Amino acid sequence: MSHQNPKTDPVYQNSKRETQWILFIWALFAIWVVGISGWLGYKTDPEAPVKVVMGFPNWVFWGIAVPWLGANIAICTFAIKFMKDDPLGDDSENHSSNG
Amino acid sequence: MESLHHFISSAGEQSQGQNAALISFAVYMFFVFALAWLAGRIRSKKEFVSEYFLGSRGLGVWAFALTFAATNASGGSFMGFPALIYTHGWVLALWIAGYMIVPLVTTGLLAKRLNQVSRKAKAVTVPEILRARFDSAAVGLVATCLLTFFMFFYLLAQFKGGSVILATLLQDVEIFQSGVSWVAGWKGDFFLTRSTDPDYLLCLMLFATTVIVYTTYGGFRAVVWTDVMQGLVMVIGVMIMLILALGQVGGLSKATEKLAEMRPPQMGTVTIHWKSPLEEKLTIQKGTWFLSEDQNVVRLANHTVIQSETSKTPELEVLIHPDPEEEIMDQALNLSDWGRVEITSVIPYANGDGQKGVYLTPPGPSSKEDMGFLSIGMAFSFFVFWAFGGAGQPSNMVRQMAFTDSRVLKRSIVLVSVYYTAIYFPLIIIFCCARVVIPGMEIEPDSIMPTMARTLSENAGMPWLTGLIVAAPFAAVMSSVDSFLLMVSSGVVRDVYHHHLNPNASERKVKWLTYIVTAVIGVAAVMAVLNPPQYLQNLIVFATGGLAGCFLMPMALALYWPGTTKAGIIAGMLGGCFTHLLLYIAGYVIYREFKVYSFLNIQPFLWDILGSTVCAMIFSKLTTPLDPSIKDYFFGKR
Repeated sequence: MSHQNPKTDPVYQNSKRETQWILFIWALFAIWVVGISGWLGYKTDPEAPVKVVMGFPNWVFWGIAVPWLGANIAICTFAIKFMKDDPLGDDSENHSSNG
Repeated sequence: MESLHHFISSAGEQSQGQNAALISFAVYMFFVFALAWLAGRIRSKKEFVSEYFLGSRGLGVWAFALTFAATNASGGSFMGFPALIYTHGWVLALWIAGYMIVPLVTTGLLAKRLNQVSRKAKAVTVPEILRARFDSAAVGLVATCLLTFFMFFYLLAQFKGGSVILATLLQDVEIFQSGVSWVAGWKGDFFLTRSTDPDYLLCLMLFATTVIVYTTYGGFRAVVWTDVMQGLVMVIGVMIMLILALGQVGGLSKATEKLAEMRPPQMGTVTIHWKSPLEEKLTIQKGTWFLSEDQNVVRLANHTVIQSETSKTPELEVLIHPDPEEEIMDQALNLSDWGRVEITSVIPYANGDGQKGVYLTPPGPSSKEDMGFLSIGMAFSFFVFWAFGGAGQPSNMVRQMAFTDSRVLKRSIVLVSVYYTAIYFPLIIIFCCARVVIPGMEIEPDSIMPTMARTLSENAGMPWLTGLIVAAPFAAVMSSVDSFLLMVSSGVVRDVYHHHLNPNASERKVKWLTYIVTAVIGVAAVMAVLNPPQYLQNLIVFATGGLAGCFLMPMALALYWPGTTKAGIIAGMLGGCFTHLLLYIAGYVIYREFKVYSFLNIQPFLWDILGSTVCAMIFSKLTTPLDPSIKDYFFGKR
């Protein structure tokens, strides 16, 4: 599946790849939240009546509540399905009085 | 004039049920100490350094997830954040939205690799990892100095936060008031405590003693176990508040509907003119409502003592309520029999003054900023800051060194994600409802959390619930203080003393020194907040921003870029630190107060990160690469 360098630590390689995916997921939700909230929220005339969806102002519902739910689903899927179960090494640490 | 005193004092009658609140709070404290005692018992059977500072790297899913979540949810989450929601409305949902992705970024970005490298380096502190990764004592020492410097500021703010919460909880308890009188009797004899409020001083002593004792005795395991309990208390407290708040306002739709009709208050001053000079001194409680001569409803912003023989008061700061409901009108004291209340000045909101609907939409009303509370640019900046600022906190890094295996990490990410959703989103709803339930709290927004807890519990006929609910922010403060206390002491003992001054120190010596240093740092922090600085929330922002600016990119580069050099990593840490300090110096020059300057209206943290990254990369490119054997050890397959 991956083109790992045989001389490189696999935990390092997996962590690096997972980090790239995490940055991608973060960017996706940043665009969604700031984009939708900016579009529906900031353009509203404060004096005009605000649309309400399930008790939330509509920009909160579509720009915060729904992506928050989406983020939970994305995080759970990523953590359970995509993150590797890498062995992190033995904790052979045996700090004596000499540190 | 007798009747004037009676008339005014009747407005400040105390709420009931505080003893019940005290009992439920005392039960909570009992469990905190019991867990610390148990942790101490376990620790005595294990090797000291690794157990005391890292719990022998044995954190399971619940322990790792909840200690991580509880440490991050500091006093700011339960004091400052609710105050902001109350003051600015629904826009805070956008301000905090980054927390939806925080669990993934803060735990996923560095954790697995950090845990692996810390095992390879046999490190139990953050500076130790960097020291081993670059085989350089100088790297470790710079990291320790920066960590201790910024962490100490954070400790100060949390000590003050804990004391304020405790004072709110206990203010009407008889035994506490006796204690306050006792403290008031001797505090004037000491130079440092002369100008400290006696109730604050007593609470500071109680809070500090509790945290210092259980942290010193129990070490990391005690901190983690109490964090787990505190984490559960927080989520239970928030859930109870959510149910009570929604029930008492008639549902979320009703609350939003009422918020839509609200206009921001105005701040101002009043002068009370008496018909005849006062015969004796008159005390008026902070928060007392009055009806002014032109039928406006105003709320006193400070506790006020009016001297006798005066025919008018000096100018008193007040909040002017634009749309008082009947209940407030009934509460407002009409002084027409004794004099008149004249509004002498009015300070309107810079953004949103007189407008309805501003609490529902961004940018949110602001008393100072023309552009409102949150511009779209700042909203994006905060989305970056919450996620990456959290990843750069050394207190999080230590926890990421302590979990058992990557399976624990994966499950913890899921658990923290659900946990934050259950904390932060309900907080927004609860404190939007708070505007409807408790008007006029702009005079003291930081106390909205304990005030809301008391109001909801008493309205529900269950005053004992206050103790449990208020235990939530108290738990948040405690779980942060204990972690930071331990980090500072580990920095001093492990990274300075053990590595640099006395590498051959015996375990017994290290153990006793650790106890002493933890206690001394705690006491030093208490001394520093006896007379707390004015801008404590700014101290928190200063400390967290500084820590993330100094450690995020250097640690990320240390873990993921083999080309980083010793000089590069030191330059990265110092580059982040200097950028951070520079923006604060610029802020001081521009605003004449302790406030950071947001260059180009961008969150200062982003500039810190940029400064840190540029310095680390330039110096790494220009200086001698590390010994290939070190690179091979940390990046090669073994």
